[in-house]
This record gives sequence, structure tokens and C-alpha cells, in this order.
Amino acid sequence: MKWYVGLSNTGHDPAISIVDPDGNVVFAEATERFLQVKRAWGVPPDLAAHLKHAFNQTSFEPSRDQVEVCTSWASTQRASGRALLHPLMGRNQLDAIADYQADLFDNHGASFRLLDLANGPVELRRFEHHSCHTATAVHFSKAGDAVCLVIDGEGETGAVSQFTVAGRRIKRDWRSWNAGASLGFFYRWLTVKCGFSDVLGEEWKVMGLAACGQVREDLVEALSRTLTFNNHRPVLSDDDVVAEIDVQIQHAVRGVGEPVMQAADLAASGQYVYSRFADELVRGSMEKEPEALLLTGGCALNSSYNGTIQTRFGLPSVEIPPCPADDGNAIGAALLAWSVDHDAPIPPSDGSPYLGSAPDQHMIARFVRHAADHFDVAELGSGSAGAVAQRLSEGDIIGVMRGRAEFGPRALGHRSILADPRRADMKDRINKLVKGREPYRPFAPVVPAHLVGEWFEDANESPYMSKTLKWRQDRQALVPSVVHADGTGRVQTVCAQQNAWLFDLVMAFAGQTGVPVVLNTSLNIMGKPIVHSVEDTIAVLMTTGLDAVLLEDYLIEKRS
Amino acid sequence: MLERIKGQIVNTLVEHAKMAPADVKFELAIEEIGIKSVDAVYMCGVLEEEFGIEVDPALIFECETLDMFAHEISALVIAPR
Repeated sequence: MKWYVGLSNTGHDPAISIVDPDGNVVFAEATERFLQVKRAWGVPPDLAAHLKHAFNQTSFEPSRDQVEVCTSWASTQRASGRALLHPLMGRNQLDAIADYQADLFDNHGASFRLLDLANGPVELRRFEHHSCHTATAVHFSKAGDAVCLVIDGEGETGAVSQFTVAGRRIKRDWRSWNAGASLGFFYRWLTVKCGFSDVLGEEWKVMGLAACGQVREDLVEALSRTLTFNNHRPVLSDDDVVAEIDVQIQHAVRGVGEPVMQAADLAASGQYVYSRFADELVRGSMEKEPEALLLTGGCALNSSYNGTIQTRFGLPSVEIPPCPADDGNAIGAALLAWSVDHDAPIPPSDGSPYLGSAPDQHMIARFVRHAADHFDVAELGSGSAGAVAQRLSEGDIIGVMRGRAEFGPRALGHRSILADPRRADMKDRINKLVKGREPYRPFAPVVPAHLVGEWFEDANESPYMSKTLKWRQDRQALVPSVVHADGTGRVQTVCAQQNAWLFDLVMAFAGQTGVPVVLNTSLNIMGKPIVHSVEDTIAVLMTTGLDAVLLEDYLIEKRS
Repeated sequence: MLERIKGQIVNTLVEHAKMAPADVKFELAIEEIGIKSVDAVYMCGVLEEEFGIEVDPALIFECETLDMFAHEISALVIAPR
């Protein structure tokens, strides 16, 4: 039987997925989790150790099954002649990406032979980059018919594409051919101007900081000149215009190490201009009067923007997959191959983003056996959701490693730190004791889907924490530690069908406190990716002020 | 069809790359004509949309002359889809 391995091979954010012969995505994981190195620049997605680990989590049988290897680019940057000089990007970084990509194209396959998953050379099946993004979005979408807008940093020809989705089959309407006209590069450039690292992917910090600044007319006017639009297709301004903009915004730029708030107005103005650019693209999609709009590509991680468009454009629904950036393309590439081979639509997901590694049960058993001298261990069994909710309501900060890991950048309750959002000091406590983040950055709320309208204005579903919504005015004081400076929250909506344990926990918390909202942030050590192994989780417990971690249904506490 | 495609190529290079029509010499390679790679890629996009075809972005760099490129595009337009 034929299995499909999808590889995200951009050169940054590598990831691997495995699709079984029936078209089910049975595994998906970013390499950064496995290696515990953020973004894993230049690392092959088919790293032998990770490949072996991934197959070990499936029922693949080497003596019976074959593997198709599918990648997320049809051509390399160098082969397609895409401009490697970009006025918004440093030459070094673009060259590095192109070199990484060329290496990856040459060397995919070696690990499959090493592990006896293939005999002889591996024939790669290469799929167009934005088609991969779209296939992933369609997989996670509830809508069979939609318009899918890919807003990315790069693409085979340009950074934006639009597809029509009919019966879960995709057909491209158009793609941008102006390689430099990239909303992703615009935001990266803004990130650097705000004094953050684009290499580490700190665009999040700009988005969070934007709420703390003022949108200034002079900055908006300057930044707006970076891109123009021709029939909704973005066009990058000439180099001399970009050079002028550089001079015009210089007074607002923040150097590395300078106070963060110095960049707040630039962040706010940049986010505003990003929204105007993205609106121009969405307006183009609206001409097709879609039943649903799917947003994907790296820019679909801009939750502040995402949260506004359903209401503003009067769309029936806006859906964003849990993994809209390049890591998610590992799924798209494999599903496109499956779809071609079976002459079938893109198969739908059951909605679960929990496609990554499960905690190592042997390691948990070993830890529990040897933990007695240093830790208090309680087996909570099926009552773990209620018991954790009780501890949260008493003020504890608890890490959770339970079930399979999320695929995508967000912690959605399986690799999370949970806390009580009613306490005004909770944000500062978590920052001081655990996360060490900049104080202005917000923490996210989890809310039951059926109650989201009672807590947020213009509420709509956000199962993968991809939309930032405005809290209702009268609710903000009840959950101060998850209300951002501008009165918003990047919400995760949960329901019993898709997140039974987390839903039970939030409802139990509501039963105890009257507030159906729990604070949720990622379980990681500062500067590291979200935890991967049981050992990583224990390391977080031991090196921070976390009160406890839940390993599956074992509650582990430091002995006081 | 070939003439229509060539006409579109000339128009695009004149409007987008600010070239003089007389400088668009089909018997030469794109680098000999002085077409920048970014403009060459943009032209592929114009042809893709104008003629409703799928153009491999590497195609123009694989053709020895602009004339060969026009013929390749013509073949894509005529090919059954």
C-alpha cells in the first residue's frame, strides 16, 4: 500500500507529515519541536532521526508498504530566477534561503534509503508552493466550496495567490508574478525596524506591540508607499521609493537594545498599513462572493487582522488552518499527491490539530517510579480536568503535556501552561516565574465556543487561536490578565467534540468560579520551541516557578 | 497566435520595463536584450493570465532566444487542457 510523506522544504520551518493509504493525515510535526531549535533554519525536514520517530508513531509496515515523497516547492528560487535582491530584505538572508533550498532539493531521499524506506534513488513529487498552502487550508476547512487567499512571504512566482475551492477540489484563479511584492516581507522588514529578529520569527512581538502605540499619519503615509495594487495584485515600489521610505521612518525606528516602547507607534502604524494592504486582497476575493474565505500563508498568522474581516466584509465564515505558515505545507504536499493518485478531492480533517508526537509513556512511567524522592505525584485519572481546574482557581500555574502535540505554532491545550485569568497579577506572575516575556505581550484566553458571543463583540469561531477579537466592555474587568492593551484577546474557542478534555476543564473552572475563561500560553522555556519530550517538560518545571505539570493524568509537583 | 503572443511580449516590455519597441529583438537571448530577470518573470505572469495557461517560472531562462520563448508559450496556448 502507498503511503505519502510530505516535506516542507523552504529552508526554514521544516516539517514532516505522513498520510496513510486512505488519505488520513496520521502524523505531522515541525522539525523545531523534535530538535528544540527555533525555526530549524537549514535543517532537512527528512532528518533521519525525526523520520524514524515519525514512522514509529504510525502503523506503516516496511515489508508491505511503499512511500511517496512529496515536497512543498515545484522549483527552487535559483532555478526559477526569482529576484534574490529585495529592497526590504537583506541579501544575506535571501541568499541563505536559496542555498538551503538548493541543498534540500539535492539531498532529499538519503534518509529514506538510510532507514530502508526506499530502494535506490527517491523520485520526489514536487508541488507548487501555494497549492500546498491551499490544500492544507482545504483539509482543515469545514466548507467544501470557498475562495482561498494565500498571503505569504514568497511563492513560486510571487507572494500572493487566489484559488477557487469547489467540492474540495482546488483551482488557481491567479498568482502574483511580482516576486518582491510581498506582505510577508513587508511585515518582516517592519519587525527588523521595530528592533526584533526576523530570523527568530518575532513578528508576533510587533503584532502585540501594535496595541500599545498610536497609528501616526506620517508613518502610515510613508509605509503605505511600499506596495501599490493593480487589479488587486500587489506591486512593489521602485528601489528609490523604498529608499525614501527608509529615511522617512528613520526617526521611529528602534535599535536593538533600545526601550521596546520606542517602536510602539511604528508597530501600530505598520499593522494598520498591513491591514490596508490585506484588505485590498480580500476585496479582490470578495468579487467571487464566496460562501467562505480561507486565509492561509505565513501572513494568516496575523491574528489581529484575521479577527476583523468576517464582520467588516460581511463574510459567512473565515477559516484559517492551525498551520498556515510553511510548516503546514508538509500536509498539503502529501495530500495533493494522494488526491492526484486517487483522482479525489482533498480529504477533510476531523478538525483536530493534535497530529504530533504523543508523550513517551515509558518515560512517564520511569519518571513516576523515580520521582518520589523529589516530587509529589498524584494520579488523577479521569478526573484530571476538574482537579486541574480546581488548582487553577486557587491560583496555581500548571503546565500540561497531555495527548498528542499540536501541529502549528499555537499551544492549544496539549502543550500549554494554564492559569486563572481573573487575577490581575497573573500576567506578571507568569512572566516573572515562568515565561520571562516582555510585559506588554498578551496571554490568550480559552472560551467555550457556545459562550464566545457572551464575552466578545462580533464573535466567531477561532478553534486554532488564529483570531483576535474585542472583549465586551463589561467583561474585561472579570478577566484582566487576558485582556490586551487595546481591549482584545487572541481567543481559542473549544467544544466537546474537538477538545473534550480542555472543554471539560474550562466548564469545570466556570462551575467553580462563574467565569468560563482560562488563560492559555505555550509550555516552553524562554527562547525555546514548545516542549517535545517528557524530559523537556520536567526541565520547564524544574527551571521555572511553575507550580505543577500534568503529564497525561499524573500531576507532578515540586515538593515544598 | 504567435504574433499575438509576440505583440503581448513587446507591449509588456515597453510598459513594464520601459524598453523601446525596437530594442525587443526576438532573435537574441533575454540577457543580450537587457531584460532584467525580475521583468522577465513579470512578463511570464502577464502571459499566464492573458492566455489562461500555466507558465513554469523557469521557462524563460531555459530558452535560448526570446523567439523560442514565444514559441513555447504558443505551444502551451494551443495544447489541449
